[in-house]
Amino acid sequence: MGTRFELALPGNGRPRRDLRAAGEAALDEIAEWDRRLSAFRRDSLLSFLMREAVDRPVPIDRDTFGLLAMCVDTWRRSGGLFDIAVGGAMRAWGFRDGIGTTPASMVEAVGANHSSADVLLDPERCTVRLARPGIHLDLGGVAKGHAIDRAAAVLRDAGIEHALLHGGTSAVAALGAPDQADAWSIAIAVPDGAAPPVRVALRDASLAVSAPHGRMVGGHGHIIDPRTASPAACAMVAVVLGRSARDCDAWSKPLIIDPGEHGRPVGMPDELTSFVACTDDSGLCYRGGGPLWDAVTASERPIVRSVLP
Amino acid sequence: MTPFDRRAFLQSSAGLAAMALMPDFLAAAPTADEPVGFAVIGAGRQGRAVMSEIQKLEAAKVAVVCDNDPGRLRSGLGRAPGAEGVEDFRTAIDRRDVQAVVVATPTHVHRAIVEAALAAGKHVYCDAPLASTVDDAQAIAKAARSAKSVFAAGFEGRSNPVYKLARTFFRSDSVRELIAMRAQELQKTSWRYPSSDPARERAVNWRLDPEVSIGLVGELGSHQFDVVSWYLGDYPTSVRGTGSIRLYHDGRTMPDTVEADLGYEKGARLQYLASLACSFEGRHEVFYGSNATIKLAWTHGWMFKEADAPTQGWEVYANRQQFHKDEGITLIADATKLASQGKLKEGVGLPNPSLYYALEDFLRAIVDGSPVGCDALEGMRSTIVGVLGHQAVTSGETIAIDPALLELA
Repeated sequence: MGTRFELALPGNGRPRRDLRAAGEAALDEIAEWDRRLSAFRRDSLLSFLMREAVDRPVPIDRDTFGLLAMCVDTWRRSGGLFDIAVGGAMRAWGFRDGIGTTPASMVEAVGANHSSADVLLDPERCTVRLARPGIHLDLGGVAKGHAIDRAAAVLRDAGIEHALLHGGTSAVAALGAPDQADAWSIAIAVPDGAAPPVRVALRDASLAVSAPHGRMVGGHGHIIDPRTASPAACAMVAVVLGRSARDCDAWSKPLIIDPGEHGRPVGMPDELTSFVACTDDSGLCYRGGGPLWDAVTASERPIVRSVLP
Repeated sequence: MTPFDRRAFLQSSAGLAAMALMPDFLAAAPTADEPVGFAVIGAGRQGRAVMSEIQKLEAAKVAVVCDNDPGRLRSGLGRAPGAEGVEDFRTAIDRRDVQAVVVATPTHVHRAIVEAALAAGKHVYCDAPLASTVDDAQAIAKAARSAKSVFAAGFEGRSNPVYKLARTFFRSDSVRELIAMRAQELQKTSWRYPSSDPARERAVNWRLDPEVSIGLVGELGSHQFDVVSWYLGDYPTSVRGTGSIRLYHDGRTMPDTVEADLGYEKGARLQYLASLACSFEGRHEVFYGSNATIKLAWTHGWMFKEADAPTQGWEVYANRQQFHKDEGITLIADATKLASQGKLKEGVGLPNPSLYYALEDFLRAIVDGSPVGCDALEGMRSTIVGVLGHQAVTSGETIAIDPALLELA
């Protein structure tokens, strides 16, 4: 996934060697999902699907099937603002190899050709088929969150109740809380120091952040609007909170591309909380919605406590 | 034609002609009228990886997943939709819809499962090393020899397309005089696995248990010793080793760092290093030769030619990679096909994990009688070298390897 994953495991009386073993198992799980989902590795499951699933339905494991089904569902609900078929556009704009010199005609061709509608899933047989050749799948918008969810499950299986995991500082899962605290305190920087960091208290919950400045190629932010196959005009920073890091990760993309008037993209599930930092005539402002956002008063915002019931 | 076009055309066509001399090692996957039913015994990390690769093969399906740990079994079943889960390996072996059994349990329990599966007439793929004792390795090889079904040892290097390609160069005098050999497997991991059930902790951490484990040399080194033996066509005659705990002072007695020195006929030697305390340069094997050096790193391989080595033609247009002051020619398994498509650079690395190719060879052997990647006898030999290597590390003594030990009575 081309990024650094880290985790913190407070002792809570457990032997250090057991904590290390649990942490290694969690990081192994993340490494395994990187091997499976990477669009950059020739031997990943994703690359295999792009080679083989055009000719035949390919059976896959339940976890990967669930992930792809969630991605297609998010594409539908978001009106195409989240789309794993965006890989061709990512490649054309140089986000695969760092060379951002794409002619507009190529973008048009890429954009017109493929969407998640081309990903055909059979839940009964647990197979995936690609409707047309040449599709470039890219799970970069959701893989970090998914890997973190799976790693958190590994930690729970190992009896770990308190931990913080993050991938590239943009997808985070919090188990319990650190010693002598109610929650993990997360600070989210607002670009260019336009405002103090947004603070989020996270306990048994997940969070994902999306921001166009995270990676730039050729003067463009790396967030592609799948509808136009071009870099999107985005909010400054978008934050989604919920139970699953995977869901938060995926929905942070539609949110940053089109947060609407209320900081919630079309189709976002009710259980997710979202907010964006953006600028309007009066300067920096925050717009948000969802259960956690609605639970705090306007004067408290954008401080969000995510102690979910 | 512009100068650039002409140069590209010449490079492409000359490269194509030259590449055509290179054998392709990516054969089409086997086909069958009815998919071969597999039972995967052991649903830990290796077992789950096996299931993922079997799913890619059209002529195979996972019918049964077996593990005596409910959590691992549940996790394994998630990898193989449609498969049934059982806790007893005998139940899995006895099923009529199972024709092939993959043994992916801890090494020291392989023997009983392999013998039962072969006795039931099932084809068996046994993860490598085959066993943790010389007796068990020999017993497995004997059972395989007596059986009418297919047996494959999971020394994956022999099925790895990059390793196969490099071996053709090695065996065809590209290296010329073999000067030295070096191999390493360096990881940064404690080799300890978490368990929420203290009663299962020892079983889960069998690799650290001196009663049953053959340590780093046996578990990791045997795979690399097998590659060397396969390349040389020869097995070592002696092994000496040392080991110590360099990092993990957590109550273990199994060394986290080992070194071994294996001697072969005609004076060739292999220097081996394995550690869990440092991951620098990971896993690789290097064959130093007077004309060229070959470096293999599982998914990748390179050849470094000496300045006075004869030019073979094809390498002029080959893909290259710089390593400090040395330039390596990238060994690409399906170079001819990729060159014809103008995608040579995209071919660096393997299209699938090496485990896929080992299982594909096994399946092909079942379907059409092709040879397996590593048969029982070769698997036994490399396993025994690993077992003796571990004994050398533990005892600190040089152990002579009796060639008779590597043959079946």
